[in-house]
Amino acid sequence: MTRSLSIEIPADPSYLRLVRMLVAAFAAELGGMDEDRAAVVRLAASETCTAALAAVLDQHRTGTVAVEAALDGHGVLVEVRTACEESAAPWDLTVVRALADDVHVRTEGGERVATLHVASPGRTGAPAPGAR
Amino acid sequence: MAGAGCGEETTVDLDVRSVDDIRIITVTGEIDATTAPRLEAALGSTERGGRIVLDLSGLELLDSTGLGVLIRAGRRLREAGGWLRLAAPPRLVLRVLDITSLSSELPTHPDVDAATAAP
Repeated sequence: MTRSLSIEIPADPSYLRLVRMLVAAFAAELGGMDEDRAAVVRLAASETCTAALAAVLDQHRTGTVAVEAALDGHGVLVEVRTACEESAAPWDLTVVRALADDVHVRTEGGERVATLHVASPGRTGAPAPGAR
Repeated sequence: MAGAGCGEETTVDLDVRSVDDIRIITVTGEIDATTAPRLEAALGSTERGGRIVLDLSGLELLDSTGLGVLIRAGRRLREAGGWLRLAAPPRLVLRVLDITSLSSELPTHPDVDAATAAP
């Protein structure tokens, strides 16, 4: 059984809904999340993708945004990555940071990567470092 | 931001009606970067100092782009003596308003009747 999800979309906001649909279905059906928690994953993933898309478009570039979702034993991990100059403005993840249990942003190999974690019911807390 | 389309575009329906001199806008669907401009246009078409109830009982998603639209509209209306009230917001919207400390900027009510009747 597939326990992870991988999508790559063009830097085009019209794909946001597709990302939301797929990530929410992953959280509910494979992550066993109830409607409320799946809605949190859906909104947090959408917000992060919106920030990534805005960064690409602000740099007047075309490109893609990669979205991965995976189960880690504590909940659902969502990773959003796109090519991004290191000097680019920080992504506005205010709502994501408030909703998700754990959010990290890093830059590696010319890409900016945001990782967020939403715990499943009864499994509180962020994943152990390196758990994936 | 506007896209060329992927077959799963975000959709929103905005139904506008008036009761007495209060404009009631019923939002059905999702508000994100692609649909927020439509909501902004609907809110912006109200006269200065107007009174608006946004019926969110059919709202499926409100992201920070949409939240920004509501905040700007609420401030604009309030500065001119009017108001913007949210009716029947979903739990997640209430949570976002609470954690972003925006509850006082955007008053919420259980339904449209309560929003229109509030002092």
